[in-house]
Amino acid sequence: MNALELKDITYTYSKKTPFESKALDGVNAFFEQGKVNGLIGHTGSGKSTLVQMMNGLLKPDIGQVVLLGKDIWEEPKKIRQIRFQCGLVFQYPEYQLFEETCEKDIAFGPKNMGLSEDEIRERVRSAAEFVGLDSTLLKKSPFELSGGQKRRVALAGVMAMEPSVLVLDEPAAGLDPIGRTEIFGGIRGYQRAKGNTVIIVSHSMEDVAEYCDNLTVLKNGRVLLSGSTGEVFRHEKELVSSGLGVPQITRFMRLLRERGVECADNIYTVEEALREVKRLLEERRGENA
Amino acid sequence: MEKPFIKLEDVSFSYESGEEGPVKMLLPPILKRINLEIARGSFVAILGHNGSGKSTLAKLLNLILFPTEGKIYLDGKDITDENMTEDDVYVVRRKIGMVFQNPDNQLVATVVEEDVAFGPENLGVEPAEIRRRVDRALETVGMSEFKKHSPHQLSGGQKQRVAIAGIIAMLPECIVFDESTAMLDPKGRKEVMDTIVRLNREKGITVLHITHNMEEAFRADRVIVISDGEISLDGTPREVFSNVGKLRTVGLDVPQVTELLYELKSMGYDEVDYTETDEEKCAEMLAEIIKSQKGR
Ligand SMILES: Nc1ncnc2c1ncn2[C@@H]1O[C@H](COP(=O)(O)OP(=O)(O)OP(=O)(O)O)[C@@H](O)[C@H]1O
Ligand SMILES: Nc1ncnc2c1ncn2[C@@H]1O[C@H](COP(=O)(O)OP(=O)(O)OP(=O)(O)O)[C@@H](O)[C@H]1O
Ligand SMILES: [Mg+2]
Ligand SMILES: [Mg+2]
Repeated sequence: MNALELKDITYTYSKKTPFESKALDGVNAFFEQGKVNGLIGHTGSGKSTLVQMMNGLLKPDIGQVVLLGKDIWEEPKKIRQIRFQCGLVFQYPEYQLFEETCEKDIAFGPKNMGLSEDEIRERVRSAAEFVGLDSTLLKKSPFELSGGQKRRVALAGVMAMEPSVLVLDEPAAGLDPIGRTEIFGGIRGYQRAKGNTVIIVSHSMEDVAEYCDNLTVLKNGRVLLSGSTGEVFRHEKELVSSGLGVPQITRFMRLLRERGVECADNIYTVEEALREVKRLLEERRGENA
Repeated sequence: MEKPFIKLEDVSFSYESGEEGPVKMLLPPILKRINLEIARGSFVAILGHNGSGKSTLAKLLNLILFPTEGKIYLDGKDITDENMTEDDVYVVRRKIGMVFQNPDNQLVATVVEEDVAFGPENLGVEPAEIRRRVDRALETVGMSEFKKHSPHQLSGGQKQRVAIAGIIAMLPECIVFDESTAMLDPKGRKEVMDTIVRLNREKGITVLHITHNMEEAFRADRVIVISDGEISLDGTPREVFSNVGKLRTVGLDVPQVTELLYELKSMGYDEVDYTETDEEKCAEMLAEIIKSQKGR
């Protein structure tokens, strides 16, 4: 089942001006319920534009956005309600923190939903836990935090609304390796605990290989490929010619194959590669014994 | 021996607390007695966990921030001297260009080509020469077709390229890139990295490249790792990335291939040399090892 379906979406910026630019051109994309779905594409391919279609921030010129079985533009007056069901974390969200304390910032969304005080407190606590924010930090002003910590607060703020579909535009950009692992771990944890759908925009092939179940690939405002992460990464040539690529480790395993090593061609993480190389080394040892 | 292009001598830095009051309070130091020499024409990658002090260091070089203690020399001249005039500061900024972490903070004009022209204009470059520099800079970053666009109508990665063009057009002697590739797709990253390498190799521009991407650091000729305001590793990429354990304790990682080779070595495959930095050579080596197992 799909939590979100984008049907035949076309969108043009600055219509009827010399800078008219068609950012999306007949996009059909489907995001599976309860999965972590990746959205990748070259710079300017339309990812951020598409993401803003998902929760009604932008309205398609042509096409339909179907969230949980319902066309979100059926009742334009209720479009704001859609944002509770489909929560969007922008690129560099830390620039949007504004409350006096982190706790208040995270509580902002749940408050707007009209939840009770008790419920709000529980939502804040659980969201902070998912993103690994220490409770002592909750009382601090967001401005006293490091970049990575601010990112977590912003993420927790959207998670606290427990949207059915959580959309994240480059959640790990600018984070150090430990920060990346922790943020993605938090997202995974949230998705598993709530069974909700997650959509992640990323430029890191290594990260999407590690954390996404499915991938949709955009190229010049159109869908180039979509499918399970493994299926999509089999198309190395097409990905490379579209400004993308495969994880470094996948490329490396291809180099091994080109040098006559008979290793599997569906390796996307270091863990898988290690298992495969170990198998090859032991197999050889076995042959000699 | 040639004197270093940039030299930091016992440099410490603390931010002041933001609270109002007659006495400014110094917060705990962010950089702690840093000593560092950078040779003219070198390509240095700077790594470090979030909040380790990388951007702070960059801002000190460009005199946006001033050391709390210690001295900084540029071409042998003390740029932290009290008697530095505004003109002197201007000369420093002309020599050391900086591309900031968030492109939104540095795009100033309403048209892309004007934005790129802004720097050279401020330097008093002649109009015809400005035209040439702007066109070349935009071409270098692959943004020529957007030159009449408004920067605000660009995607994140496109803005970043324009910001880089703006600095290139000033023809500085040194460029500090503060995570300038963070928002680019793999091809864009590679193109910008190729551009940076070219500026360094062909134009002799000294490059300081702050990044969280370990593969990019492999392309530098020197890697410096900052941890909690101190330099914890400094050497060639090969030397630095052979300290896998230490890198992990300071919150960093190694490229995927290095990680694979390192794990194999730890498992007792002694022939594996995980300090090799060239992907093709790594494949060559591992393929040999796998094949030679047969002959044992
Ligand atoms: N406000 C705007 N006005 C006009 N054109 C725009 C606007 N925002 C984006 N565009 C154009 O639409 C296209 C798609 O932009 P979008 O921001 O969706 O790309 P993206 O895939 O998110 O890129 P990136 O990876 O760089 O963030 C780009 O060519 C961009 O120049
Ligand atoms: N204006 C400021 N006032 C007070 N503290 C600050 C200020 N700017 C930065 N800091 C603190 O100084 C430390 C170093 O920050 P800096 O921006 O140099 O880190 P960085 O290594 O560039 O990190 P990142 O990888 O996240 O960009 C951090 O702990 C940060 O919170
Ligand atoms: Mg974007
Ligand atoms: Mg920084």
